[in-house]
Amino acid sequence: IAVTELPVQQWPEVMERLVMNVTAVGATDGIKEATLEAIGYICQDIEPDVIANYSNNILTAIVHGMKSADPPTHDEHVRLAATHALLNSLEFTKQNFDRDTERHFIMQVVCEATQSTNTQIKVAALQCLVKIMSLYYQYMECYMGPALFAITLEAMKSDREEVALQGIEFWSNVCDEEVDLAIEASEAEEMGKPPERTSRFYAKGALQYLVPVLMETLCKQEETDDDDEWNPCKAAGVCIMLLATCVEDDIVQHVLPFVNENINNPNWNLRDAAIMAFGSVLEGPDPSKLRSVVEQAMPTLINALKDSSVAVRDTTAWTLGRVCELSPEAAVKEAYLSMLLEALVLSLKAEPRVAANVCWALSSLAEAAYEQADTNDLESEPPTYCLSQYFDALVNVLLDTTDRADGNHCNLRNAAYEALMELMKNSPQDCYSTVQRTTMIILTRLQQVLHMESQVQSASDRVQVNDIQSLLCATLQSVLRKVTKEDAPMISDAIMSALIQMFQSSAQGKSGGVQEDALLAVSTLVEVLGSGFLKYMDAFKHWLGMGLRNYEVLPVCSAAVGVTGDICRALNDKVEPYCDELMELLVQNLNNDQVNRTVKPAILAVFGDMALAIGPKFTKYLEIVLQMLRQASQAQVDRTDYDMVDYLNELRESCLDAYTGIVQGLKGDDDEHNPEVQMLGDHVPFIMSFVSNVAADDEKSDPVVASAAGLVGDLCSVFNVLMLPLVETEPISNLLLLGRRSKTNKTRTLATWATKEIRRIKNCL
Amino acid sequence: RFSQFKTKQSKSSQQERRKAVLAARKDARYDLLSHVRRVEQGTSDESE
Repeated sequence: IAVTELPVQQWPEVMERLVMNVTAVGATDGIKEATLEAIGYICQDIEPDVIANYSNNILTAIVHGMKSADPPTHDEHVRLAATHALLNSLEFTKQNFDRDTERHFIMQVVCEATQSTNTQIKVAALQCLVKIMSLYYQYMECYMGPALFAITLEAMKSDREEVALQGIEFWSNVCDEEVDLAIEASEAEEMGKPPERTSRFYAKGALQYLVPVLMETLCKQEETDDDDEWNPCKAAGVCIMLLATCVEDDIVQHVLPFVNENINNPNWNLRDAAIMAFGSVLEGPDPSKLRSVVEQAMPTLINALKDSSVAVRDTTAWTLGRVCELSPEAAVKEAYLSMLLEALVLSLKAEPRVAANVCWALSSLAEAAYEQADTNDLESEPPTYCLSQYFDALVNVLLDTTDRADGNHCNLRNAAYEALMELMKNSPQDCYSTVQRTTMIILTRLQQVLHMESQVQSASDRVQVNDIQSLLCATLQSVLRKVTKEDAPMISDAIMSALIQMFQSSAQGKSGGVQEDALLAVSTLVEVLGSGFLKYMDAFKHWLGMGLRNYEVLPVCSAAVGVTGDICRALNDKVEPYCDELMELLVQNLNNDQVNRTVKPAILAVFGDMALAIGPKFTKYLEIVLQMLRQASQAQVDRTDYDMVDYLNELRESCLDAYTGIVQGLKGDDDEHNPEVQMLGDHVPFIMSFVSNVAADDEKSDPVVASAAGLVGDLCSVFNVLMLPLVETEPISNLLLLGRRSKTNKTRTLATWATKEIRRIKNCL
Repeated sequence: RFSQFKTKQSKSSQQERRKAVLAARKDARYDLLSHVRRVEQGTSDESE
């Protein structure tokens, strides 16, 4: 009731009343406990700014409840309820943490509670420390040395799992904070400003004490691992990984001796811990410093894939995946490559958890091999690469893995299809025949699964069939991107007919995921066929319209909007007969409050695609589209919400792109501009005031700068000297200067081009 | 925190595929506009 009433200024005395319940002389323990629980629930559920004014009252009650006395003034249930309430109140007691004396007092009470013999109180107090570390890192210096370090290290060593977990979590949180602070410091340095907050490097300082305890905890694996169980051993693995990211090179000297000592130990727990530790420190340290260590470890790791313990095999497969991702040079080194592939392929037949990790390793290996392949031109496909001789066999074994009866365990089927997609995406020219063969296999499988659909009865079968259809559509996208322009028309009929069949059956309540992937597959086909897609438009437009109307399933509607833009760009003026219907649906969505706002920028950008495609024929939509763009250009958002600032940038980028499409489309390709472009003349002042607003915004994104610069250039190219008073202004000059100094090539190119356009019209005077 | 244990960055999950398609679409739009603008830029170079 308090959570409902306090935000609307009702029941203002409730917090005072609750405090009295706890502090009043003679209050029973039952009343105190119930009251503190109520305070805890209120703190947990209410908006922090509603209750921040009550923070003094709340803390008085909580601290009163948490304090131990001799003899005790209340029982342990009261202390526990108070400690939980404190945990929930930490986010809005900033003003109390800002004051030294109050903070000292709170910290003292919390630290005392961590020493309770009652495990529940101890755990709750440690949870408070974990949260305090994140929220008030800058104030922790005077508590770290004298108290927090010893308290949390002791907790990490505890035999009680719940206590050890909080000790480890404290240090994982320290790492998260200090990684963020390192990013803030480098960003501040780039901008030539001092950072607002600085790191105290607690993780680095504590490393020599933390690592031995974490290594010991890593060796406490359960005999039968339950995937869903979170325990100190797993938490220690994560903590080491975070420490490596945080302290970088420094971790290596602390962890490597343990790895070397135990990697061949007869005890599987120690072997597994050693490999886990090794895999965990691969990200963070400078890869060039780790390279020789990783290369030396390769034969042992490859051998460990055949370990008698499934846990060791699983950890090894994961570690090899990390090697392929983070130290790819070691993985593709000629000396180990065939040995590694042989071992990985054999392990694809192992338990699903092992095989899923192997699939992931193969995905990273394919990407690494492709990146290292020799190519004369960055744009073109390399003629061959180090996986070429194994490529066909790898594809076969992955196709077999996707068919495993236990493929739904440990996400194995998804992992195998994803590896297949990565192999296709990263295939060089000499593997093209396998790409062709795989395309046909995927197509056959798609037809088979559609045929099976009528036999699906149970809900779980339906989920599996949906998953498979989605994965097949996704794999189809990856092969289609590789298919040559000559081959594409030979298979497009069969593909389009399968996809349309899928839309037909999906109209009977199939998952959005399948429809989205099917629409994305159409997108790829449009890209490959270009204007050749026209022959499918009459059959496809119905399903495209269904997708655009399906605003209740956001990914479907979003994918349909995307395909509409792709079709416009591919078909050019041939899309014109379909535009009335498409435009009507797009405008309906834009005007519909129930349509998710994230779709709307994409719709605006499609207006630009359509204008560019059909040129002067777009004039019949001009009035309504310009009206919508005017409205969208004036949108404002809550600047304290980062997501909304991102959204505003996206919306503005789309508006700018739409204006660009309209200007370029109406103008036409010829030297003589189409007369229709003059219809924009009256709108230019508004468009330029929008661009100036965007230019003056400190929070504009780089893509917005690029699109704004492009539009300035476009308008100058059409309206010439008439533009001079509108572009020779401080915001526009600053915008173009910012663009020319951008790190992004695209932005620099557009800003430079726009600057040249302005110079050109000035020279015309 | 649990999701960070033996974490694997998927490169082809549905979310990654969606991101890749959006990025490719932005590139395609940029390429097309660059093509159109190059024609225009050529004209202006000539007129200079």
